[in-house]
Amino acid sequence: MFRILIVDDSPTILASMSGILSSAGYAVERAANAEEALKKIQSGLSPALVITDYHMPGMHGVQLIQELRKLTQTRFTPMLVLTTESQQEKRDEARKAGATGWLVKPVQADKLLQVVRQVAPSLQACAA
Amino acid sequence: MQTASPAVPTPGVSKSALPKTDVRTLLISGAAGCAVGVLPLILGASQPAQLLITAAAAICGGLVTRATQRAAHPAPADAALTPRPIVAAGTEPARRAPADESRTAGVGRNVAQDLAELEPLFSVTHEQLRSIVTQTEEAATAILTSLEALNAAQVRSAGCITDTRERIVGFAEQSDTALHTLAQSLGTYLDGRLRETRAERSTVDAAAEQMRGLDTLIVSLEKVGASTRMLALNANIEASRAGIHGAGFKVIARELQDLAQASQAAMTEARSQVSNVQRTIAQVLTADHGAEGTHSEQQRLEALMTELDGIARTTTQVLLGMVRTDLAEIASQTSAVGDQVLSVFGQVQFQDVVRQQIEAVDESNAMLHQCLDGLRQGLIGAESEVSIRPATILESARSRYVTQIQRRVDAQALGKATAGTDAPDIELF
Repeated sequence: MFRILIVDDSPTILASMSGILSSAGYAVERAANAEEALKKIQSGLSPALVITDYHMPGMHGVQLIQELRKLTQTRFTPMLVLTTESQQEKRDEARKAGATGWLVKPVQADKLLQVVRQVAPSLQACAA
Repeated sequence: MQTASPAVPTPGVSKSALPKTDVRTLLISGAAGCAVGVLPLILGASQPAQLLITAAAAICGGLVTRATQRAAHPAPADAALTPRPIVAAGTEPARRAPADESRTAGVGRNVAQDLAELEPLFSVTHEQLRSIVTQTEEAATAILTSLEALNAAQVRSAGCITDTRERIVGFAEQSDTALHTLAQSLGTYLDGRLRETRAERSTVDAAAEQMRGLDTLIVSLEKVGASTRMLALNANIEASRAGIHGAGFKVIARELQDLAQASQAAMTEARSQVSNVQRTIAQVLTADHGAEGTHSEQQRLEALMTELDGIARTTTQVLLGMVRTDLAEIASQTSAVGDQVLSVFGQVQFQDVVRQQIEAVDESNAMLHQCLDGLRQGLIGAESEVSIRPATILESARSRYVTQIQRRVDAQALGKATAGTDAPDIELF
């Protein structure tokens, strides 16, 4: 079953995003930081979509995207940045690193689901 | 001999803040100028040299005056941040006025003491901010837990509604089918019964007809028996007339008479049985209520089937109506609850936004603490380990802004317009 990987150091954001996506029928995997996310992918997880925070302890979100783009299993995986960051320079940095899109917190549930369906149309929503 | 030059405002200190040049300063300046002015006399220099030396004297006087005033009234910022050598009590430079110096030192110590008393405020403020973050995080977690339970209940409710709707529709269809089948079965049964009844009636009618024929036959046989009895009687009479020659004939007459009597008894018995059969047939025909009664019963049964059919149709319509309206409304409301649950899942993200803003304020608070601590140490003459200028606090805070709200609030606080327009909240590259 294809999963959506959510990476954020905030437990609130992890629970919020899991709630929205699970309610819509998507399977969700969580990681509290970039290092944990990389470990899961290197251990075999092959997400169909990655949604990552920008500011995190250690490696930040754009650096994570750069690392994931180097891996075979995630080279073409759609990746979204979900952040409070509003600087245009950071947004451009994410685009150059290979991000698929940029979402500003707090994101409305219906708009998030609309974006997910748009960037990952092959990701089938199924009973969790 | 030159007089001391007028007081020169010390850089960084406004002119209005300076007191008038005091007498001591003037005397010192004047003494310095005189000392320099006497030199030409001592050295016996020529007039140009005297002029130069005189000018130098004036300059020296001014410089001394300036140095003296600066020592007496230092710039507050420079004095606070510039580390000073530790000066033991009672060993201040002789050129300073003792009263001003003690007053300044006293004010400095008071300010330092006041700043020291602020120390717990920063610790408390830091903990208060951490507590706010923790409380909002716990509240958000509790809300999310409730939302997950609510969402699960809403999903189960929607499932129950779907199941109930399917069961009701299925029940309505089954009920309708069953009642129609029952009606058809009744109809088939009644048709069969009617045919059987008609066949039985035909058989009974035939039996009654046969009985009537038998009755006629019995009447004929009774006539034969009567004739036989008459013949026997006449034979007996003639046998009596024939005397002894009629003895044999008398026997025959007697036998004939016995036969007539037996025949009559049999006819009587037969008639009785025929009558019984005819009576029974009549009773059967009466129980069937005749042709009219059978037709009436058929009509009542047909009416009953029509009523059953109507009940089936009405029941189906009511059940399907409930599915279309009541259950549909419940399903719609349940779906609306689900949408609201999703919406709240997204709104809870505010906690993370607020957390980052509070952490930024906490960092600024810590920098302010370090800055004031540096000022306090400077006032008491100690050397500060970390020197943070007040102007850098706000600059540092601004460099850590992440949200558009922070930049907007900053601009509003200073009465400035926010630069540029907000970037879209969602952008796909």
